[in-house]
Amino acid sequence: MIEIISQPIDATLVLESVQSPNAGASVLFVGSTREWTEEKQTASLDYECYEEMAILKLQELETEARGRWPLIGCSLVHRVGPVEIGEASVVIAVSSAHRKPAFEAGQWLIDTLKTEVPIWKKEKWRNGDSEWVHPSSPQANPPSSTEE
Amino acid sequence: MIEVELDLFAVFKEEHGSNQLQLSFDEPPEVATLITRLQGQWPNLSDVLCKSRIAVNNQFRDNKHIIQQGDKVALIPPVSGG
Repeated sequence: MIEIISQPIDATLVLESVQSPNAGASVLFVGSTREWTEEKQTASLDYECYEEMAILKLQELETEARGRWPLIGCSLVHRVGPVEIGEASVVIAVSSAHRKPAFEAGQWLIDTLKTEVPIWKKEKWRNGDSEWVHPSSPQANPPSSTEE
Repeated sequence: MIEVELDLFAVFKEEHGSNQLQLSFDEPPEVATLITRLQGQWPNLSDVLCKSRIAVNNQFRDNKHIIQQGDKVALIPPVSGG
């Protein structure tokens, strides 16, 4: 399952999409909007994407992950448009016969998605300001209101 | 003459007030030539421009890549999905 949607993501459906009788391990990652980043309070995030390229890049991530790890299922769903505090902006699920490849692939997929897939978020702060988040480099991301 | 329709996103779209920028070149430009032109267009965004990439037909391309008439060209500022 590779999707970019403007509706809330149903993480249960994403998890179910990778489950199989042969999968002894399924890993589910949910990235969601965090309210506080240090001293600043986020009101909401607004995501924009370059859809045709983003879908292609998500498909490439799946292909590369399947080449690196023996995966059974691999699903990536990203939300666009406004995302309120506590709601999921991205959900990734992977499954494999054993847990190690599933954990490793899940970590690699979210890390790589955050540097390679053309999706951007705009922070809308509680004080009324807003700004596009354009990290200076993957290693030096400024704080932003998602999971990490 | 070659016309490039550059797709814009995020901070560049907001700065330009439109999701596309039309540019003309005497000959098919390298990606580096396109970026130099953009630095003249948006000196106030040179920091983010330095860190941006150019996608041609949905693939990131390096500075030496030559853009041809009809290519789908996009300016990709540092991404922040997730």
